Amino acid sequence: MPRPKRSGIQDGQFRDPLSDYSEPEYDDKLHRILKEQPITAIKHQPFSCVEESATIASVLDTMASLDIACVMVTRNERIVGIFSERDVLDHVAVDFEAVRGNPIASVMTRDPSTIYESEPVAKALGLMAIGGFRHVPILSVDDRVVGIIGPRRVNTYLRSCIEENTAT
Amino acid sequence: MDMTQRLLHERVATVDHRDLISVQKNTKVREAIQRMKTHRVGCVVVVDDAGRPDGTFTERLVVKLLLGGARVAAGKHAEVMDTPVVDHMLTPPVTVSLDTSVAELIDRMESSKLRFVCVVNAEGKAEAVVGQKGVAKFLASHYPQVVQGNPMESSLHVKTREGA
Repeated sequence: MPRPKRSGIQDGQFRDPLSDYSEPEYDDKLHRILKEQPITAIKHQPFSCVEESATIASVLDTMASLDIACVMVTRNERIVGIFSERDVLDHVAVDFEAVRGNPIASVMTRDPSTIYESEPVAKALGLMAIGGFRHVPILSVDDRVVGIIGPRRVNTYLRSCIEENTAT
Repeated sequence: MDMTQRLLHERVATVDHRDLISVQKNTKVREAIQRMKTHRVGCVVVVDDAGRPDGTFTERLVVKLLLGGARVAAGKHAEVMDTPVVDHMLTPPVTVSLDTSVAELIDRMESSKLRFVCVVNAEGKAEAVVGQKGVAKFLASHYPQVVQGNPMESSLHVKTREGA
């Protein structure tokens, strides 16, 4: 009795995908960087974290004095939210006097999209360009915050790569 | 065409831009903020009677304004909200035309450290706003397979044990 053939595999045509050791091909240097460089190749520090019990007024003070667009909100060193200039506009600006003493947890954006430090630059670009996220926290393997990236940091990095490419 | 050539040859017209949300110089801060909220934008352009940009009013300015009001005295906030945007706007406005190269657009954003730049037409009238996100989309559009090939959620490891 003949053995049934597995679907999609014809006699003599099976190729073990794990046996392909050839270098991947890239269109240009930026293509390689997007695919191979980890997100930490981009400037991802300094960053600022506040506890979720911090008051809105104190967080605004932090943002203005450090001249930063967002802070990450943590509980026991784990990220629980993010608070950006957009949240200021949406939840704080008009009613500031009424909410200034409230905890930041009441107006932050909860459970933000994050990226692990070993993931590629392409993922960060995708989160921003397709997902529409302006700031993406970077986490270590044990879920601790190690940095943050935004469109400016990504664009500056990619541009420096392009310039390097032109110079060589 | 590689990315370097593309940045030099492609024009601002090909970059994803935001609709122009404009206000007059005498518009109150409170109203400008409301318009930013309504239209989901981080920047409004302050224009003169002919529609030419005089300055920009951004989210970052709002943070600084609130803090200024908070530091002075309780109740100061309402006063700040009722001042005209012309008292606080960023000047001069950084502008590009639809014919400016993408490379130059990025240059101007970086040198001014601004997230948004105003696009003006041949008569100098404000037409749209381009931002960092538009530039990110432009770069991503050149490498669709690489950029779209990554799941949105963090994927380093599974959160729960398989079979547990």
